[in-house]
Amino acid sequence: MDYISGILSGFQVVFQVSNLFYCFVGVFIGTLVGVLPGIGPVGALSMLLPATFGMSPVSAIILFAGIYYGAAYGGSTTSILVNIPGEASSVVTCIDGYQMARNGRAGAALGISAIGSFIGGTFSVVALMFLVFPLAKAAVMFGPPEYFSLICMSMTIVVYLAHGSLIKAIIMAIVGLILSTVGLDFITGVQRFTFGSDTLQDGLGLVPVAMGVFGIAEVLTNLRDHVERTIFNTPIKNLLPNLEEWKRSVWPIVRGSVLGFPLGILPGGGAIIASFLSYGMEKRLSKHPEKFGKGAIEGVAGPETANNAGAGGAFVPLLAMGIPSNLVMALLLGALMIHGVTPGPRMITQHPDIFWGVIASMYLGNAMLVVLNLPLVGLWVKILKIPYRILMPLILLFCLIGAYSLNNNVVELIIMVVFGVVGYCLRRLGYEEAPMVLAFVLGPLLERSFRQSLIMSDGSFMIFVQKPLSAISLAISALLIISSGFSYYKKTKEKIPIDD
Amino acid sequence: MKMKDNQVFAIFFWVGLGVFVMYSSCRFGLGSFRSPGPGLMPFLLGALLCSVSLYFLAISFFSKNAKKGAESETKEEGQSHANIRKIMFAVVSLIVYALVLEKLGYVVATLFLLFGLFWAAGTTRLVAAISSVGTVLLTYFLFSHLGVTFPQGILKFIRA
Repeated sequence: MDYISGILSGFQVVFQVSNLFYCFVGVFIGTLVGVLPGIGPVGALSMLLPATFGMSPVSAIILFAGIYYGAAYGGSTTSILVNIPGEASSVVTCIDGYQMARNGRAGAALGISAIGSFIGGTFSVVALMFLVFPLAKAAVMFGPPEYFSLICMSMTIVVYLAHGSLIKAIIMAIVGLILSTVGLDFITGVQRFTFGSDTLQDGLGLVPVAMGVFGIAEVLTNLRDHVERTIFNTPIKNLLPNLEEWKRSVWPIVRGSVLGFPLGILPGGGAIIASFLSYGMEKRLSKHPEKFGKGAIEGVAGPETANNAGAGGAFVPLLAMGIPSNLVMALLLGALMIHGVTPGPRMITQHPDIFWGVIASMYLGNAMLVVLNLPLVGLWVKILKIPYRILMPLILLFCLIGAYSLNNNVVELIIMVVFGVVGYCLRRLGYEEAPMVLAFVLGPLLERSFRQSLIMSDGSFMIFVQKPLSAISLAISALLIISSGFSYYKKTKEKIPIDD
Repeated sequence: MKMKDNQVFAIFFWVGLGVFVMYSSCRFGLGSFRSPGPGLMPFLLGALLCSVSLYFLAISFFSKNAKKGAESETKEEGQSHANIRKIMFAVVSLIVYALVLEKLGYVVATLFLLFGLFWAAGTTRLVAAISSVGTVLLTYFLFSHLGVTFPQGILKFIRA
């Protein structure tokens, strides 16, 4: 199937009334959770996973994809109007977006953010379409050693890019891998860490774990460190930027698109890094870097474009190789597998309706988001004003419904609450949950590849370096570890004279 | 307890977890590298967790910066100590909810849970009651329509 007929068949799928509806609902919910600090796309997807059981796989994935890129759009609204990022990828938008709002240019900031997001998102869909095919063709040749090394590399990158302590991130990744071993062994059927529980025989569920450490832990953290949100009261008018602002935004949008997409492919926080790098690049390239931080439109246009381009890029490893690059992709993987579809190199040929349907829905979803974000900005502002005392019980309830309805099992509710408390404690102690949950998702594939590789090689670890791709992946992992070790050593060495 | 103590406690917890995982893995069967058993992967992970945690303990022990962090964290802890009760209330409510959900049914159990949470969050009793009833009814019909099966509990007779 060539690209043209593929995308046309994708639009045929999307223009079915039910899929149009799910696409709209997805981007609407995505914007909503992006606007509301505290839920996020991971929580929303976890809650809605059971609701997709009655849908076709393509509808489910259209809904989920919509939530994901919708959240990247919605996150910017809170950054600009409240100075609180709805999503991590919108953190950098606070700097100039909020200043623009204070200078009476809230409308222009929201407008350029939506337009930049649309262009970045659309660019990433086109790039995704052209990149997935060659990558999927190559991925067919991958064996267990390649998969093992690729997953090792993905996890090393996730740990390397962690915001806080590197050692804590490594510990979290190991704990995630240990958690993934709970349940029946896939070869021998031996029960591992089940403690006699029937529920644990199937392993820990992704939904209770993810909702616990993200949804419940977020609520508990907010209960402890509640911060009142103050919305900057400014009339939001003139959503289209003026001519001067357009001129200043064109190149940041172009650069944001080109920079964001490849960074989005990187495992862990690609969209976040893309937005930060874009901001740094725009500031460096600007003729007036002193205006940054005081309401420079380039500081909104570039990062907002880059984070949406990055959101699209994150689909590449999932669709081409079946390896999720972030938690949302991990939940998408889970949703597809529940529907009997295994993402990976063969999905494009075995389920072309799903692949092209998702691609086409992303084109349409990006257009829907512009319509949702610009004229309905007043609605999102009103939603922002909902007090947390009303939101908190509702978030908890949706988490409970999501965890229970997956298997109608109260044990999973208890697992979720336990992981909520664990997530809260981890946050208090400065441990990041993302490496743990991503390792938890990738763990079974890692273990399977590891054991299969050893069986293939008759117990020789050389198999991991004899295969070229595997060797390259491991070399990259080793380089990252050495480089982080070196920078840590350098940092400690610099601190010694100060301490003494 | 100071933050520094919490960090040390966490490291010992990871070491303990690593030892437990290694011990359990031996019982699952390690096999050999030629024929890896179900315990091999968890055993290696347990060993790695112990090693990294002990290394972390060693560098934390020698780091002078940890003290600075500990002081600011302790100050912060004191400020929000009052909210610990709210957290405890939310956690206990959720666990009790999980335990009684199937006996009482979704409608009754959720009504009690939501009333407690809304009230604890600072709304008046009237608002808490109205919000709880509204939310329960809305979610019940919405999610039932989406195919979610809720336990009926003591209200089983209504449907019968």
